[in-house]
Amino acid sequence: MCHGSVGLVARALEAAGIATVSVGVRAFLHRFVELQVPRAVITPHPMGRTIGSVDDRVTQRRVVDAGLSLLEGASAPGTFVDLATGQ
Amino acid sequence: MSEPDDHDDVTAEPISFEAFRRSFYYGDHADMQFKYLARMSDEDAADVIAEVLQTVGEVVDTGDVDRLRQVVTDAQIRGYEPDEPAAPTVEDAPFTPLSTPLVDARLALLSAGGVFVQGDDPMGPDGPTQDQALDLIQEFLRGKATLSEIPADTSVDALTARHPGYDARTAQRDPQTVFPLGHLRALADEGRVRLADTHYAFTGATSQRRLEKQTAPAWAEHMAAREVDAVFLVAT
Repeated sequence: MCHGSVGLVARALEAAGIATVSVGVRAFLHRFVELQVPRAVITPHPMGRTIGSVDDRVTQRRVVDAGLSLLEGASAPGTFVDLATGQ
Repeated sequence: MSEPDDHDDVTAEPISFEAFRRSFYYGDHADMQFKYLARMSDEDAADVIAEVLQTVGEVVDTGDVDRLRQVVTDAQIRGYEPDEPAAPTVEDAPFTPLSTPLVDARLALLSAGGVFVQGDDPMGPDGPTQDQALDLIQEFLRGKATLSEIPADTSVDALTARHPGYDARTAQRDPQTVFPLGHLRALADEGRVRLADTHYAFTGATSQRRLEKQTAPAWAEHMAAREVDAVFLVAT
């Protein structure tokens, strides 16, 4: 549900001329794909800890860095980065 | 050591395994981390429960919480395998390239994790607790999402969260699990990004049709008017 909501908001923002990157967890990757989210970082975390576990500042920072890099680097819609596989 | 034999207790209501696994979905055993057991087959749900319990037993000895986290995550991935695409579906892919270097772009954070500043509850001063929110799931799913505004200089410790779709007690313990404002502020201090004055959160369990047709376009217009160039979105 939340991944669907984020996908819908990302689409509205992009349509309004605002670039987006969406971060989500692997269990709901399919929803980002279905909604053709423009840029997405997929984290290998359990739901509800999208950015990282409680107080895991190193992992959290890594995810934020990955999101910003994707925001800069993506040149076409549907650019996804899976942090579990590095692909 | 003797124990009472529950099998002789004829007053106890028997519970089927199907009823048990379904009770994790807003039932007697409501648990946002395992609610997907309700949509699994009996056999698959039994496998998940057995594997989680077995791993708990191991982790008590080894302390290897990462192993338990992996088991839980893998089970969620199996539990949420889609049957068919959810509504609404789309046919295009809007895309806006980042128009300026990140360090010059005005970046806003927007989380679907139900985060808000303590004392500024989007549902009012008597808004529901996390536990109470679970009972309101249908109201949330029919309702209109509210956008919480969170000033860029807000201390992470001043934030809390409530959400009827995931276990927001995690975000109450550490808001940066779903709202990494402190990390973005550090990156701004390092000269990597430029942050907008205001950041945002809403509760992602909401009417999808209304979000698509009304709410999300209105939010986009609001942010465009504030000259937001880029948004970092977090799903939960």
